[in-house]
Amino acid sequence: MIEKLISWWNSHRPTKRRLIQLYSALLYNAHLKGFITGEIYSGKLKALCVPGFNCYSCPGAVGACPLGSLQAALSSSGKQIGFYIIGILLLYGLIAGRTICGWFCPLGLIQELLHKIPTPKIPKSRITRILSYLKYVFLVIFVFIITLWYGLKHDMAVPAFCKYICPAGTFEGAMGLLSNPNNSSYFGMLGIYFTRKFIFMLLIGGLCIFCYRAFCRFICPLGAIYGMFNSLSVIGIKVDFDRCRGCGACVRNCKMDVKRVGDHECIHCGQCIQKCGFGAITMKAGNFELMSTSASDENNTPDITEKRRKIEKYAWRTALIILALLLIWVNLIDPSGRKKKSVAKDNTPSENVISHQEEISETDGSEETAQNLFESSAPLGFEVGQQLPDFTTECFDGTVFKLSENRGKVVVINLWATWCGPCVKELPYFNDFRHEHADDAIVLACHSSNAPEDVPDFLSDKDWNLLFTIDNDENRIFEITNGSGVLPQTIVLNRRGEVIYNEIRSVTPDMLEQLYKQASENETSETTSVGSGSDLTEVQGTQDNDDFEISSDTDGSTVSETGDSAELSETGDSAELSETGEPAELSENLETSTFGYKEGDTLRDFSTQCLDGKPFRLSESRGRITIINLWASYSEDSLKGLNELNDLYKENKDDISVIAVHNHFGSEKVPDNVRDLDIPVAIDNSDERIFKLCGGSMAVPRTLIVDKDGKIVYNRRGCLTREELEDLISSYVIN
Amino acid sequence: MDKTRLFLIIQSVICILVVLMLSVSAIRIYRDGMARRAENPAESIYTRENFMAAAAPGMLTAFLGLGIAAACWILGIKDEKAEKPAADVDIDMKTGRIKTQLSGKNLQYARLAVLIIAAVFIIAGIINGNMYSILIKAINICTECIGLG
Repeated sequence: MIEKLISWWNSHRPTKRRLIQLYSALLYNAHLKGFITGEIYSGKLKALCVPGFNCYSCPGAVGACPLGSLQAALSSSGKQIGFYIIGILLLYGLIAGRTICGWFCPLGLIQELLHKIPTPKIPKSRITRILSYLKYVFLVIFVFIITLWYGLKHDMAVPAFCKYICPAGTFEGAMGLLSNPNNSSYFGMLGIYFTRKFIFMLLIGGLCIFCYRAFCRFICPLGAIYGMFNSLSVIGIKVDFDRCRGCGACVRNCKMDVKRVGDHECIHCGQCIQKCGFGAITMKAGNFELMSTSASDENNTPDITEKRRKIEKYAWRTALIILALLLIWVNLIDPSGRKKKSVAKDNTPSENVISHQEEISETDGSEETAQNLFESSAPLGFEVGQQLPDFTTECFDGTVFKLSENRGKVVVINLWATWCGPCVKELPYFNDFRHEHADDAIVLACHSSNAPEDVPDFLSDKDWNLLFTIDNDENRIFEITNGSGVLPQTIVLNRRGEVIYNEIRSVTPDMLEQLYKQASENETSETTSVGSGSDLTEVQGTQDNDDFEISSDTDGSTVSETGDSAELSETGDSAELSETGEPAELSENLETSTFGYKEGDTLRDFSTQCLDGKPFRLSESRGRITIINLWASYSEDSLKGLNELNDLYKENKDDISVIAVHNHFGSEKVPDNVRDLDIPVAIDNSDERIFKLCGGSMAVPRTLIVDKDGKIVYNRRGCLTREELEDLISSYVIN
Repeated sequence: MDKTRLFLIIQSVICILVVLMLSVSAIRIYRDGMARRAENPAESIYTRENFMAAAAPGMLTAFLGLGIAAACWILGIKDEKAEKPAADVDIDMKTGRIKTQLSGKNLQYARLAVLIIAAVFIIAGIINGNMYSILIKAINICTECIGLG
């Protein structure tokens, strides 16, 4: 039994080549910590390119991928020539050529292991030989043409091979990162690219099971590059033509599409050495013989054989020492690989940020400005619902951006970099968004502190009217917003500076618009009741005091409230109202009311002019149930709901009061049949004042029912049927 | 049908099945996600949960295949034809003989020239900032490269 096991082990034990392949895979991916933390290695060692195909976004990668680096260099070739990567490829090609593919490529190892799965195999043939030229097509089109086109023409870094094809990126990078629970947020980024690449990876993997090194033979552009150096490389298979009898056993037994030993398809795996019965094939490094058969060894003396064994032993020892040192260095010591501040997983801002925030609060606390109304009591942090700590940064146009000074506006912070293709691609969306909401929103595009090129120079020929800045060396803004090396990232803050969105993913114009609406509707009753920050002209006191006065000149109306006695006066549309003479019961209600738009709150008074020219004032409806319908012509549900409401109103004109308010956006498209309805229809002003008072957003329809005392008893999105409305009204009337 | 052939066919079917199942899962997640996104542009297409749920059957099948592969490996079952020399191939012995004879001084000069060019380029790359650019690219996750962005 033991003999059988020994015999089995002898026939199955890993070959020297397999051990070197495993060693290389481990060497390239020595950042083992990354597989646990889910973060990639960011030490300076990564400036070195590894010779084999190994994605630099793999959590374990300690070196750069030569093909990814080549594409990165080509995409910025308009500004900087990629001397370094060209030199590196020349050097690797000169030293080893495609020996790298056969011995030092982790992707080659994966392909060979997949091919070990026992299935019927597709043998090499003339067809596969023709297909092997496909990799040159991939090299020219995906590595050079598309990358250069985007780089030179559009100033965008598009590593086309990586983006559309590379299975190493999907397997090592994407799957490596996504499999870590710490990176769950990355799932939000996945879309068509991932779907396409994931399927492509599966197809390539599946093909490799049946066809030996299918990716290497038919697709790999790096193999195509190294293949050009095969006849020049120092290390590789050499044929002694004095011994060669031209039997062709070497070529016929080779699994690659070689026509002769050592041609551009040869990966110097050395399997042909054993197949040659004449000892004509050896593997050499210069003149030093690395591998040979016993037939070719016949002239070698025992001393030479012994010397070779000794060298091999020392080489292994040295290699293992190097690996051990590398493992220790990148996992435990390397200071450049450590995060400057461990805020990535900790949402508590660092001390300097908090102190800065306190400083801001102290300064602003003494000044009772309009922005006080937008102060948030939410805890500091970068997560949704938290208040983003304050920061100040100087923009490229010379202006100083201070987050706290933008309370009252929707703030969008975009973290980007020139070397990030998706980032550059989405900047025009932010630009359009900025133009569309110029008065109400502000966009800060913050470049990563890692800027290999002159960012203002990059932006000089772009017609983007955004606030551009670059993060400082301490990555302060990135730290505050939980930014990382994964870009783009977008953070959206509502008017109180609270985070409503913070995700690493590309955005679309629709998404930005939706986030804007969400940011607008995420306001509390206090802030919405006075409109946007731009509306405020005068604020005295704070809401913490019993005594406060708010004046607003929006559409000419004024709301003032002083002390215990409530006084509402509003002047607009040549109408005036004074509620000081209201019955005692109503006055008491007002005294104890909480104004707002939530159910149970008292809805603030408003007035408006209806489309039929008649004025509508909410306070005039006191004593009756009032139904407020917020709608828009672009919403079919809204239109249906209006008809139901109209039917109800026609039969209950004496008991209920109704107003249908169209938002300002698209108000010119109000259909004629709506104008003919019995219910009063109005259009909100440009500040969407009524919508804000009612807690409405662009998401329409919304229905509010206000009881006879002015309290909101119902405020929900959607329209109600006539029956539902009747039920609700009857229950409130009874109550 | 002999045992070896049966094993190989079963294994082939499993491999193809795994690829198809996982591909269909990805397409389904994407399609469903896009439908959700049509209603809400901020909606995520993939989530850890839907990915794991969709991939589970494919992964189970893959593990079954790996189990069979391990059994075949231990039992020494493999496609014997794959080990046989290929018949339908071109052999270019003559060209090989000529090209490989680029040796001696010519080869040395060529190698030296490439080495010098490589060294000069690397130094130039360090000076012109190309190495730093590569470092920046490498230490930040390239979302496009890995199919995320």
